[in-house]
Amino acid sequence: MKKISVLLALLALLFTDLVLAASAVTTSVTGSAQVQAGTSAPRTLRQGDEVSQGDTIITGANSSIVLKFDDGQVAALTANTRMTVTAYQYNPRTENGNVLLSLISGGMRAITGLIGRRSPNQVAYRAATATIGIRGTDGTIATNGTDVVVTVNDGVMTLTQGNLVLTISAGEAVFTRPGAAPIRGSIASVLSQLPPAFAAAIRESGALNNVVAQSNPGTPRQGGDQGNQGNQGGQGDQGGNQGGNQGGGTPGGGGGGGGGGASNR
Amino acid sequence: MVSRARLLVAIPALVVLAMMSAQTIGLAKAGSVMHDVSKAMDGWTAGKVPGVQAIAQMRSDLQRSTFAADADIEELLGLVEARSGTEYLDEARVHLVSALSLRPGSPYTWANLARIDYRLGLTGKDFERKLVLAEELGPYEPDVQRAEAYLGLAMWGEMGPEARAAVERSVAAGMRRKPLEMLQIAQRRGRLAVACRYFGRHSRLSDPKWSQTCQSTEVTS
Repeated sequence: MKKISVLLALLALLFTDLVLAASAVTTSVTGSAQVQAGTSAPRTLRQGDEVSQGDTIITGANSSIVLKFDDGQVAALTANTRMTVTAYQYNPRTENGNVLLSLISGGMRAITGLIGRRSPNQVAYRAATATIGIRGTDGTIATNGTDVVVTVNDGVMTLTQGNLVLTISAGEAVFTRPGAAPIRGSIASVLSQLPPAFAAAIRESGALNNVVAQSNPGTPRQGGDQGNQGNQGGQGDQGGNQGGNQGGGTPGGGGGGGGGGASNR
Repeated sequence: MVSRARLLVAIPALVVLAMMSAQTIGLAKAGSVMHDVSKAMDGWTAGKVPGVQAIAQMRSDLQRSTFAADADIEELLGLVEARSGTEYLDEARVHLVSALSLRPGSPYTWANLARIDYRLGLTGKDFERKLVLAEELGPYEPDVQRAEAYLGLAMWGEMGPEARAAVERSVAAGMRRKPLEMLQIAQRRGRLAVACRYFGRHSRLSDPKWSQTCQSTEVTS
């Protein structure tokens, strides 16, 4: 009887409780970066490490990091930034999912992937009390926890903060601070009116162009990653090959093997 | 009338027999649960993992299935827990340490423990020792090679010479066995040069793109 219940439980989890393991991989780290999963202690984040829903990424002074998500979304964080992957789910089969990145402080350039292209309303960024929606592909957000600046390089973004709803087109920027009228205009004109820390964050994100381009934004990340999960073994190559063999046979085309999981027998 | 002497022999014998039967049933049950859990875990490698609740159910099934310390169950528990994100990561470590105390010669267990330590940020000398031991105990094991490359190349700039040498031996062995896999891991970790050192020494990968990539890596490194 017990065995039957165990089998039923396993069958039930096989069919009802499987969730798609969606994540991002750090494609570039300069300086120091840490990841904090939930309330656990932060640990060093290195190139090739995986980041998942619920993780908070923290960059140090003179540091930056580029994250590439499974759907091709790229988030490049500038120095002294804290950003939480509040929600990230992606189904590569249907190319659907949802993204919510919460910028607590610092600067982030975000380039959308397949989810943003197919269902832009499923992608949002939060900064202080503002919610930024997308109708395009490429923008930069910076916040100190209260004030927010958004610049749009490509496409259109919408900023919602309380009753305020602003549409920001490519080449434009908006700076909002509590109790003051928003400043909006061309990126250059808004940048010239920003406090130095904000202007620096926007400039830094611009300086990440090369590493952002190397991460091949917009194209889905190839190769599932079982690397830091650990696989149950006794199956020879099977565990870790999941990432490696699906990664594509060409340089730059793959997510890499992920190291697989050492097996247990 | 059964003699007293016969009873004195028969009763202990029956007790022993009953205990052995219970143990056999227990082992069979444990084996069955382990088989089921292993089978379910096979499905996880396809990019799907169960939710925390399902993992908790598996843990409880595994824990209930054994009445004596068993290295296989301890390791399986550790691996199931390691899949729960960070929920059971500390417990996973405890179970893998326990598995190692029962089976210290398993390179897989050392490699799995190194993986948990990496995720917990425990990447000091003890971590390096685990990588060295895993490589020494299982230099030709594909799963060990993968773990060595994945973890070792991540830590490459921070490791001591002994651990580096062990990782490089694993990468070299992996390049002989499955060069594409090693190159992809090395590329992901930004350490292509380490794998590319062994690119020309085998003929199992003839993709000219990788050849060019390795040549340019040689030039820039």
